[in-house]
Amino acid sequence: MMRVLLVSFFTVISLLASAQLDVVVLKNGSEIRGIVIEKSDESIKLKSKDGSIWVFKNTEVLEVKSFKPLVSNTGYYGTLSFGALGGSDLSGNISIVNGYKFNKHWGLALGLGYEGFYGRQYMPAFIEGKFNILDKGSTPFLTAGFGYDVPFSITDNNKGGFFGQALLGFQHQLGEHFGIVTGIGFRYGQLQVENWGWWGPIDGSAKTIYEINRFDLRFGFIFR
Amino acid sequence: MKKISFIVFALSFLVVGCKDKQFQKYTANVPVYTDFEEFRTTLGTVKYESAKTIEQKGNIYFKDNFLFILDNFDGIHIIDNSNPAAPINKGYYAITGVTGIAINNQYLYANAYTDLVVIDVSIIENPAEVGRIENVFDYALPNYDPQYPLAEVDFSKGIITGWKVEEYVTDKEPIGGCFNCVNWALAESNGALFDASIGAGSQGQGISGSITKFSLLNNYLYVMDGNNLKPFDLSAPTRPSNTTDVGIWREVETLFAYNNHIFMGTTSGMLIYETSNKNVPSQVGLIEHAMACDPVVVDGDYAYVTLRTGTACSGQQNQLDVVDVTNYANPILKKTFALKNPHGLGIRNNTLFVCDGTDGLKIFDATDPLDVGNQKIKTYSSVQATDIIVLENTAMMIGDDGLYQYDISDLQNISKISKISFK
Repeated sequence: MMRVLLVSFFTVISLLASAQLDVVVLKNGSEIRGIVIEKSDESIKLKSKDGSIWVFKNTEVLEVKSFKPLVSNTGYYGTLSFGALGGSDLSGNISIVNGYKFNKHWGLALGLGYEGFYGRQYMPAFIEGKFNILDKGSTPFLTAGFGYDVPFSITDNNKGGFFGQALLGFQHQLGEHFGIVTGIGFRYGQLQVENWGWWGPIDGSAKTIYEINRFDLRFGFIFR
Repeated sequence: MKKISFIVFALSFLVVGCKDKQFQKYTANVPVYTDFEEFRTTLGTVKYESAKTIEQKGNIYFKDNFLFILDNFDGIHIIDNSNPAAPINKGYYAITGVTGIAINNQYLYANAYTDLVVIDVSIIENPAEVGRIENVFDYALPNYDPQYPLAEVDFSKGIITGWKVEEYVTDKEPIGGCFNCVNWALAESNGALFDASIGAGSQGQGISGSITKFSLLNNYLYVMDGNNLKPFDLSAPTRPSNTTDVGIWREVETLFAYNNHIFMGTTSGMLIYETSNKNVPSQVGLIEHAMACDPVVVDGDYAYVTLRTGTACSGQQNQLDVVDVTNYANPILKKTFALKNPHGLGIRNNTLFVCDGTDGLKIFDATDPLDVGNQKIKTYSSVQATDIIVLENTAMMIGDDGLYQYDISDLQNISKISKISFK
């Protein structure tokens, strides 16, 4: 299982690296996005997103450049991500984050999610800070945050608990409003379960605490 | 290539290092340890102190006009009982961990948790430790708050001389280990020698109540330590020697030495051991009964056994059993008489004294043992009676609120002559 996850992770990284778009700027002011598939002394052949093949004479072309989505330095951003929390055990996670980018590097977000540990289900509610290392649409980033795993069933002895997390990731902007993210991080948490007998709580103070130490392998989407 | 190697190494580190764990957190009696050596030179040796207010009942012991009342795990109150009508709270022997004593001539034998200590008490106000056997008893635990479980105990850290009630966090362990493993099981055990005292003695020996785990017989001290009967040869009084343990696979609560035999009251029956080989007593007789606490005394051909419910003894019976022990190898239950909640008992001159819990002290004429339950002479119902020492003319009874003494020289006119009230 772990091998599959690692292979998937590196595959995603490779796809991101190869998914660079080109922009052909014509002298008449038009811009066509796609991937340049052939370039000669006389013409340029470009394959657009819908599969069409465009051929331009070099005399028509002003320049060919890499596509750089216009990414705002400030404003809303959101991510939907899926994580595999692994280590001595493995469990899944889905997170939705809504944040605000204050400048070209820093952002702050609130998140909610769904995850399970040892047969108990939780809704992680958290706050996280984000630091984009580069001032580009495609950039490595760091996030760090903390929150509380709220148990889905609050009527039993499962009381949830606090957690902290950090992630080193890479985001690639595919357009002005959409991109993909991936990363690997670490999650630490303490989940409390009151010790109950068949009659109820054994002792008002007695609890078992599960200490969660997991690596977090994550993939998702970013929206602006 | 180097980057990929680094990434793979980092990922491997994460995978290997990411181990979930679990631990327990609860309010518990957390042990307070005292280093073994420090214990033996300070808390665990005798110190004479001025008299203290007696705060709780404990086992009682009488020798040479002095009455000793144990304050379990802390020390021994010394009462000058030269005049039973006006006993004087004279002083206090501070011995941490003491739960039982026996006095043979001038030597007081006491347990101090794991050790047997020999104290010369020829001068009451100047006790001196003259001998000690270290680590001869099972590790005993001092009193604790029963509302809370016990934290994990590490016997290698020293002697547990107290407890602190506080939040306790167990060691971390892999997921899937202990859940709900609060240490209630250990909490149910209160130390091997709890409730220890001493058996009725002969010349040179003192006399104890019937609730005892120490007993003197033929210059041997027998101590019930957990499931082991430990004989101590007192030929060299300051250097008692213990070379063997006799396994008793029942929960023994009291020892009573009589006629070269040891009668053991257990939660499930009465055992009789003969001591022709003093170092290795052997069982000769047994009589079973239902689960109950059961001190025993013997007089002539009959043993008197009280069974009671409550505390760790469970059971459903509160009664006095009269057992024919003419043949020690074949004790026979002859009669049973219903009682309220009998604890200790004593017998002298055909008069049986039974501490019947909230019903108080009951005194019976035992001239006809098989009718003893119907021959009540007197009842002192205003006391919660626990245990008693019966002398020729005086009976000393310990209750919840004090030590009572009665003049029994005239059985038809028994009268209370004094009381030492507890705080």
